[in-house]
Amino acid sequence: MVFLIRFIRKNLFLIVYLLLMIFSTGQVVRFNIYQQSYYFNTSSAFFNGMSRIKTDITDYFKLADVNKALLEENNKLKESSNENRKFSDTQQFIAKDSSGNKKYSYLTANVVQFTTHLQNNFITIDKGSNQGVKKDMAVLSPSGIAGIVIDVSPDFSLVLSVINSQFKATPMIPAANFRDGSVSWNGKDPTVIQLNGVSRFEKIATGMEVVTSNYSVKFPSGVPIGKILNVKQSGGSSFYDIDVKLSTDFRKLSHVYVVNYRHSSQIDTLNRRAKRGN
Amino acid sequence: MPYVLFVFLLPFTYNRYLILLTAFFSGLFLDALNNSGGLHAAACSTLAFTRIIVDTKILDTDAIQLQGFRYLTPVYKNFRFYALYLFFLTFLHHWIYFTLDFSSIYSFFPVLLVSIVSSVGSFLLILLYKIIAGIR
Repeated sequence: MVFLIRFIRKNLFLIVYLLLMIFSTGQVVRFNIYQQSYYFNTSSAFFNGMSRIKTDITDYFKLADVNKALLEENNKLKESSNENRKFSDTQQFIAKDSSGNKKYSYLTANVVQFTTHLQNNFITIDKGSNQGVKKDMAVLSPSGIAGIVIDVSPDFSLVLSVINSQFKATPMIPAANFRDGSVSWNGKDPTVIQLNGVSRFEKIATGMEVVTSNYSVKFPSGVPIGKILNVKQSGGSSFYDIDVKLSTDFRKLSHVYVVNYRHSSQIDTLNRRAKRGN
Repeated sequence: MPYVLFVFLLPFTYNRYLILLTAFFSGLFLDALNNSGGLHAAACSTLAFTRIIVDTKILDTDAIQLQGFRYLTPVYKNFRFYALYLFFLTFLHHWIYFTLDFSSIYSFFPVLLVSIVSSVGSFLLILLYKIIAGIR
């Protein structure tokens, strides 16, 4: 006790200072909302973290039951909603070639889900193998190209969007009589696509229309891709860097047409036979 | 915040508890005006505490008693020393103030920047006062 009193007397100045500091810091915490929230956040972060670990572990073992319940609920909702009956009949219209044979048939589909903000964007449509959609079919929007079917379930299909870094198509510029190169997306602007492989000697100007090539197997020829936005010439390269403004606004996509090219299977078998021959 | 001059002007010969408490209450008075809890009080009491510690380490108490020194002034040491002394104590005050104001570990460098810039401002204003009042 004597020691304690001596200690206090010796360090009284420091103790007074510390008491004043504690008091004023307490006042800061009490009066200022921001500091208050910081203090309580820090102190509760530890306890929240502990309880989160506990719930993570227990939730993991419940996952199977939760999934089953969700699926049942989903099915009920799908059966009860009006959307289900919107395009229940398979609408098709057919384009004929010059000899009167059916060349392309079109199938309308509603867009169920789409993204535009990712590097690899996909579109989900509400037509699947039951309605005759197959892998590698082209998908068009009312105003231009939209993508290529890459996966099919009985009633839905997954479409590789044009604004996906893996998308490629063969373009044609009728005004410059140019049929070569490829279009692909660089992942920056969802309204602009890049046209590569155009030689510097081609007479290209901004505003020219870019359409799908007649050399394309998947896409019908002459479907609009977009208009040339700007033409750049990177130093040393013998090709132009061309930006094309997409004619399809992917942020407002609501329904699309799936293109069925009747002769694609024949072309495929021919190609395969040629490869085997080599 | 050039009001820190008030703490510097408190006579060294006063009781140190009196200096500490005066600084604390002047800070608390500013807090009452600014509605800022205890930011100024904490910063001011730290400043007073450090000033007393620094003063007792630097000043020769015998010389003070002999020559009747009352303040730490440029006359006692040279001007550069006095300026350094003023600036670093001002900086300490501002640093404590902004640390409590920002209250976040992640904003260490923003706090440092803000406190350096504003302590330069305060320092210049204090010097201006010294020039007007006459450096003694």
